[in-house]
Amino acid sequence: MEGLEPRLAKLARNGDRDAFRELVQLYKDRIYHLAYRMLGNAQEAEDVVQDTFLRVYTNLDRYDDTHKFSTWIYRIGTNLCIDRLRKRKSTLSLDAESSEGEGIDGHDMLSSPDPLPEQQLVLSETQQVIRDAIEKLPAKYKSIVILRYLHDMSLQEISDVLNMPITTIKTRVHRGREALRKKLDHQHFF
Amino acid sequence: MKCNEAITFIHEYMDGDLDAQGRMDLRQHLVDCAACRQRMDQYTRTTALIRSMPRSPVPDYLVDSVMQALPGTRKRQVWTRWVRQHPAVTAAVLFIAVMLLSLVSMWDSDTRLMVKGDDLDQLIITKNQVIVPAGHVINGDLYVENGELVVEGQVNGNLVVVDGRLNLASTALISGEHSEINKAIDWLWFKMGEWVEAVTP
Repeated sequence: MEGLEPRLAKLARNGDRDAFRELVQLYKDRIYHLAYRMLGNAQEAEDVVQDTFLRVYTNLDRYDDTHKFSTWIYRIGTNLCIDRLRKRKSTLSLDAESSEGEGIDGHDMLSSPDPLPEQQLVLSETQQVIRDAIEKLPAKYKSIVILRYLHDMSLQEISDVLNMPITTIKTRVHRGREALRKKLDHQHFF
Repeated sequence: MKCNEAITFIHEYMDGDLDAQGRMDLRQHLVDCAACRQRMDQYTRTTALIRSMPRSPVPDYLVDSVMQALPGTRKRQVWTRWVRQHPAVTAAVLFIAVMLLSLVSMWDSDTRLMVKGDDLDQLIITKNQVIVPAGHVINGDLYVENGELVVEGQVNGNLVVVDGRLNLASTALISGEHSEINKAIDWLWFKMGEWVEAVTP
């Protein structure tokens, strides 16, 4: 008995748009939350959802249904988020160079709040501290912490999604956990 | 157990990867060590807080905007994939299509009388008539477009009349074939035949 998702993927591959729509319904929220947490704003989260499904759609014939569909789509989504973070970093350093003499250096830019803050969410002070702590994590820890604690993935699943050895994932979970604990401790949170 | 070892055990425990023996050893250490107890408590609270982060509402137009952003039907994609996989066939089909188009556009573009062939000096050519006079011999082919070809003499070759009429007098002698072409499609076939002859040695 074949699972629902591989079956939908097969139908979609043969041109059944309604089947693809089902897949979008199934995964849009998860990818949106992933991107929202990775990038910190709604507009980019929407863009990532769009791009992710576009890639899924154009690569349906490359989807190998011996693997979990969720692993595949999460991999696409996570990589798109990491790409955006990387681009952001390089444009920030460019901005920093171009705005020399205006009293802004790259470091200030990096620690400045998001261009699009979370307007829709009412966060408690505690949650704001947590959000900022996650926000400031290096991308390689950020993605793993988010997948682990906001998407409830096992270390094995994360290792499949990111295509990295489980020992690497383990180390990064530990380091991410420690980095967050330290940040909260510095804020006299505990 | 030392504290740095215990910290590794704490992480393993939080990952759910610590065996029974390890759990016993860790518990033993935590009884004795307030610093590690505190650290474990902080890890637990940190992860609980992350899990409790609220999720922002997902815009309800998202499904539609995703579907609209998709490229056209899969059918077209299959078609383009086929094209990519068969470059030679595609090129040939395109070539023929372009040639046919150019011919169709040439068709009817010219309504003036045109004569091609050998021994043209033997012919009598009027506004819309080409006459092979009686007693004259044409050695070679004759090709007439947009006019009437009247043969009274002898032609040692083929006759082709396009968009016109072939009028053979009783005295006419034709050694080759003669054909009248009055439809674009016939003309195309004829032209294709010419090309094939031209490219085959």
